[in-house]
Amino acid sequence: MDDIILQFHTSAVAVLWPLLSKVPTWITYAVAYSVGGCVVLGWIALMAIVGTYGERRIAGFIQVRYGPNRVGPQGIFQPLADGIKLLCKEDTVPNVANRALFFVAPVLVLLGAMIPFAVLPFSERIVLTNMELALYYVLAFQAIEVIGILMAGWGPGSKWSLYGGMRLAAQMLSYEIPLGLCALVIILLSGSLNLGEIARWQAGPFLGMEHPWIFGWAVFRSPAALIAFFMFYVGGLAATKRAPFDLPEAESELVAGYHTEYAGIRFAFFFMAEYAAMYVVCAMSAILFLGGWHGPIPRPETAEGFEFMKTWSDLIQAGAPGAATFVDRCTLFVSSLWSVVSSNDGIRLIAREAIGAANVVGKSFFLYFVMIWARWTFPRIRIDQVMHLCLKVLLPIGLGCVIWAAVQVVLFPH
Amino acid sequence: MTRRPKNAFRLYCTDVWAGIYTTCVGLGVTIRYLFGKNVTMLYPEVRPEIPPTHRGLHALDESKCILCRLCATNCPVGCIAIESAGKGKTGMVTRYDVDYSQCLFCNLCAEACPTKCLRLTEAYSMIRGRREDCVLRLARPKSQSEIDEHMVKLARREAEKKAASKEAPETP
Repeated sequence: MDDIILQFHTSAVAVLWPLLSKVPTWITYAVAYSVGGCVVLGWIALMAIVGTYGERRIAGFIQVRYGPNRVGPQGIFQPLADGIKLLCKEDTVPNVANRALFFVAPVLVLLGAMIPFAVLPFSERIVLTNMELALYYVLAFQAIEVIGILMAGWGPGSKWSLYGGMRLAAQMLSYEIPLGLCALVIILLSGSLNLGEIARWQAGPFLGMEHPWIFGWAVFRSPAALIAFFMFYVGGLAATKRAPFDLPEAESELVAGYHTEYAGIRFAFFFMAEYAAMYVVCAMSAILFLGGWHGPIPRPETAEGFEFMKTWSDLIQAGAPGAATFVDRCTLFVSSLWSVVSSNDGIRLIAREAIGAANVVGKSFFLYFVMIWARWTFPRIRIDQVMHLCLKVLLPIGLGCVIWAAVQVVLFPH
Repeated sequence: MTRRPKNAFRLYCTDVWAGIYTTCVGLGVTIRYLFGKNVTMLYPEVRPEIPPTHRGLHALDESKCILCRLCATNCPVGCIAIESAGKGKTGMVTRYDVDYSQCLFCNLCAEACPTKCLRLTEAYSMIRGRREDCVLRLARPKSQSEIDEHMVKLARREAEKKAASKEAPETP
């Protein structure tokens, strides 16, 4: 997004309003990224809404009952009612709490869940930061959430919280290893850590097909990637502490685990963080293994060499000498933007990005649904079974997959 | 130290396979339920069908009641209170109260009724906000003038009867 902001700043703003171009670029960056951050925050809130509602409705149907269906048509406003309830609740702090840890923990947990959204692409161009080390960044910054939850476990001075926090730390740190190995398979095959590059690699020619549609997805390119996909997903389930790996909040033995002592909006933070982390795992699986935006819906091609910002700034520069007054400049700004958007190429570009976003979000939501489905299917497993699965099953198979992928890359470079 | 079995690797493989297989079986079971029909119902809108033999709230047919008070006598908890103007077939039920804070729904009152004027209906909803409301007044409320009128009518009929019986020995 950096280059787009800079281009916008120099070619559109500077030409029309020279005074504004005196504003240092870092302020422009700050404003632009703040807006982007707000959009991401909105998306996280939406995920929490969709997550709670979907979770309860699907749980209801799986248990052959209805679930919440009173607030609004089919109960779709239930999460809003829940949110208002949580906002109005008394914010209790235990007497023995370590107040600093207690108050920082929910913020840190939510922050840890939000950080991956900075690089998580929704489509080819709809991404906050096109980072070269995006995959590494996502995997590395999951640790922030671990720290937050350890603080939440220690802070309130409650044994239930402490047990939950310790279990979570053990579980999340162990599952980082298979997660990393599965990501390594994709890194080896695609040769990139950039999420956009990885998605582009999955649209490339495969088995003699120029445009392989869904058969270009990583899961079809290598058996190692197929196995790695399922393992990444299972590891993601464990890393987001979803059932059957929800030991940290095992309500039958730990009350609620690390968020036992939290009430009201702080509790809601933990919930939002959980659903945001779920979405991140699902979106990462979709982008790494299921082709990203090269999904089941084919995207229209855009014209060669068409660049949105360039066309727009050309139009502005062409019209700039004729626009003398402030109103004229504003009209020029809007009318040129509209003419670019409504032009043939502009519409195609928007359609392409919209369909790409629909592909990513659709696949992510399907995986999201599978997570909920799995939660209401499997009983919780013991901590030793969790560790057994991680260290004795996922780890060796993951290593095998990495070796397979490495051999495949060497023997059959496409 | 347990000795490592010879076929440890095969055991491991079968374990992993069993894990994957049972996972799929479990998911299959729940997806069938997900798209299956719900067993619960949307209660206030959709009402359950009550069998006709259900023993719910009482219903009294005042016109058939002969004021024999067998129902109140038979009631094991004594939750039926009856008051009347007059007796027997000609009497008028002025009060017929069933106290549902005590009623067992045993149906003994209805079984005892010789004229089948009392029965237990299918009505199951008996939520009340106050204790006093637990007593259901089954008899139609009557004003004092109505009761007086009935008493006068009874007395007149009695007098006519007496007059008739006085005349009777003379006729044969």
